[in-house]
Amino acid sequence: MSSVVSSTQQGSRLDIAISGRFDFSILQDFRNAYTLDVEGPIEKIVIDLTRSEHMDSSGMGLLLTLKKELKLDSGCIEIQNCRPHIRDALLAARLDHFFKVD
Amino acid sequence: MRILIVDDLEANRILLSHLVEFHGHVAITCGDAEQALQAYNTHGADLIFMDVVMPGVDGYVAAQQLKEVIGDYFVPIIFITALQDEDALVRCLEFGDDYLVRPFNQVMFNAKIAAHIRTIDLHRKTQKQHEELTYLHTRLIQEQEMAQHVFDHATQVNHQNCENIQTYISSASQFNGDVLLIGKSPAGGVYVMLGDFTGHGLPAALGSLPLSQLFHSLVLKQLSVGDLARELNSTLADFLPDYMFCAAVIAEFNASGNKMRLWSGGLHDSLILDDQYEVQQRISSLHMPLGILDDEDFNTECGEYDLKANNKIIFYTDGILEASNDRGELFGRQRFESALQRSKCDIEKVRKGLHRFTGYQAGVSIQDDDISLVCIDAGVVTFKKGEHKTSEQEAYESSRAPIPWAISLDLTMAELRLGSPVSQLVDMVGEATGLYSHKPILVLLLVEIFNNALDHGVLGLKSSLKDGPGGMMDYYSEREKRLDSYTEGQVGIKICHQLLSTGGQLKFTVSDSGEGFNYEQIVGGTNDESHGRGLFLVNQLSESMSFSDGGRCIEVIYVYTTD
Repeated sequence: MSSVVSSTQQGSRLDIAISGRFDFSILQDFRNAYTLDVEGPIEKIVIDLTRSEHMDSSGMGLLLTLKKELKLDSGCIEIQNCRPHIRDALLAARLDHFFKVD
Repeated sequence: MRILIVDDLEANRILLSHLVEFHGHVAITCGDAEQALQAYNTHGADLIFMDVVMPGVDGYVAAQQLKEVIGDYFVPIIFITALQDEDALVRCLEFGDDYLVRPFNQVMFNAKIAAHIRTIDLHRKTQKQHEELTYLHTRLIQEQEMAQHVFDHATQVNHQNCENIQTYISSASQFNGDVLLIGKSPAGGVYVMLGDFTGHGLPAALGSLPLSQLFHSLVLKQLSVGDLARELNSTLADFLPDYMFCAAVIAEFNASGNKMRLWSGGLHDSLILDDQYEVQQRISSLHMPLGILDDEDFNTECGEYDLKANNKIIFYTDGILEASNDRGELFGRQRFESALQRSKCDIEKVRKGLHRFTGYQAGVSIQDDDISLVCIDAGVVTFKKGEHKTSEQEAYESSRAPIPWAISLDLTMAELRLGSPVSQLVDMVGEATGLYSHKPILVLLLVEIFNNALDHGVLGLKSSLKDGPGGMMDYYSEREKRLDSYTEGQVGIKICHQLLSTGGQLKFTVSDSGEGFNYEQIVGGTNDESHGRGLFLVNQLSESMSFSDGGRCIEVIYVYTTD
């Protein structure tokens, strides 16, 4: 199953939903979602992982790149609806310091 | 016809047997009751003529004895008598089926025989039909029992023990036309679907079979409720005849139980109750029932609701509102909602209240429609431990004892270009150990160590490539370039399963043909960079991680316990 990145923008809030694997295979689509496909400044990003069944360190790399590129503060990026094992991995990698993990 | 003639006078016997034989029947004659019983047992008879007054045992008693032997068969006994008093004739009809008064003429005698033959024929026909009906009925019962067995087993897996959910389900007949499906979502939440098929009984229940199978496979894909509804709709549209459909609500609760997404078609308002068990919100159905619309006309729009931990969500089918008492009053919405409030959503109490109202008694009264009522507590979704094993897990556990094993493979450059072997390997591990629920973490561990060996070992990529703007892009395009062009290189993977007293361990050994690296630096590595996290993660999530051969070989041990 190939992964799909979809996003919707409401003012300065951007929602990005990932379905499928969250790893380097979605690099281009993921980057487009918060660069090319947005208008105006973004202050809040919600990443919905309801339909993502796998994330590895390359996926985490994408998250960190996003944070760095948009120069957003911790707490402005929320990660929602992760499956238990993804949540465990995010916490094990201590990424909860940089992102709000639901 | 075989006709038995019982008379103590030979002249009478001869006369009667002549008359009988003249019309093509077979006459069997006997002189007393004892002979008559013997003759009946030996030859049988379709009709019996019986003299009333005989020495010894009289005709009435003889008739009684014969009737006892004849049992359930229908063999009319006609008394022939010279007695004319009312009392005697009444007794003839009491012990036999008819009488003929001597002297009689031949025309009358023939008419009697003809009339009784008609009755006998009619009786035999009825008897035969009765036997056929009994046979068909027995067969139907057997078939229903078989169907019931299939249904019970097909729907058994549906009630995974989610502690947030209370249910009351009662079907009007042996088969339930309502269907309640509960599925644990891979994200830790729960999916609940309540459906009501047109009608009730077996035809209505039939639809629930494909529905429940499909539902569970879709839940595993964590489909959104709208998409789930669409898939179910198109399957039901294919399966069901045009006049049948399924009104339904499909809800997904997230793991923390503070959000509900709901698709609803054709069912009554769903209710959200507040902390006082009062209706806080009615959610009316937005769509048509499942199984009607074509896929292109189907609307997946669903509502999203924020929940507080003390909210209760109520789904129900119309059976509960339409349950009536003997005065014809319906239970209705008001009684239903006040029952929910008074019982503080104790569904068992609501059920008892409903039965008090309708005067329903199990096994005595008839219930008109299937009734289903589901109450879901908002708040963190929990499942009873150990009782929601997947069917594949159960099948595994019942069929195999754990054994130690090892697999090893060496991948050449050409094979490495084909893509990552990780998910295939983890599937094999899952099959061989039954550790299905550990698969996501095993995938993660193996992905990290495999990518590490391939990227930094075989392909010689430096993580520092990822630094700077667009670094990730540069890194992965370089990776692709090298993967396509390199001819030399190899990754070896060995997975070893060993048993421990508390469970077992999996040892992953991955070696590569690269130049090795300074692993001490990596493992203690910093974390605020967008790289160097892979092995850090492996170290965190595994029992142990160690290197050898100058960083070309990594060994990771993952320990699991079985309960």
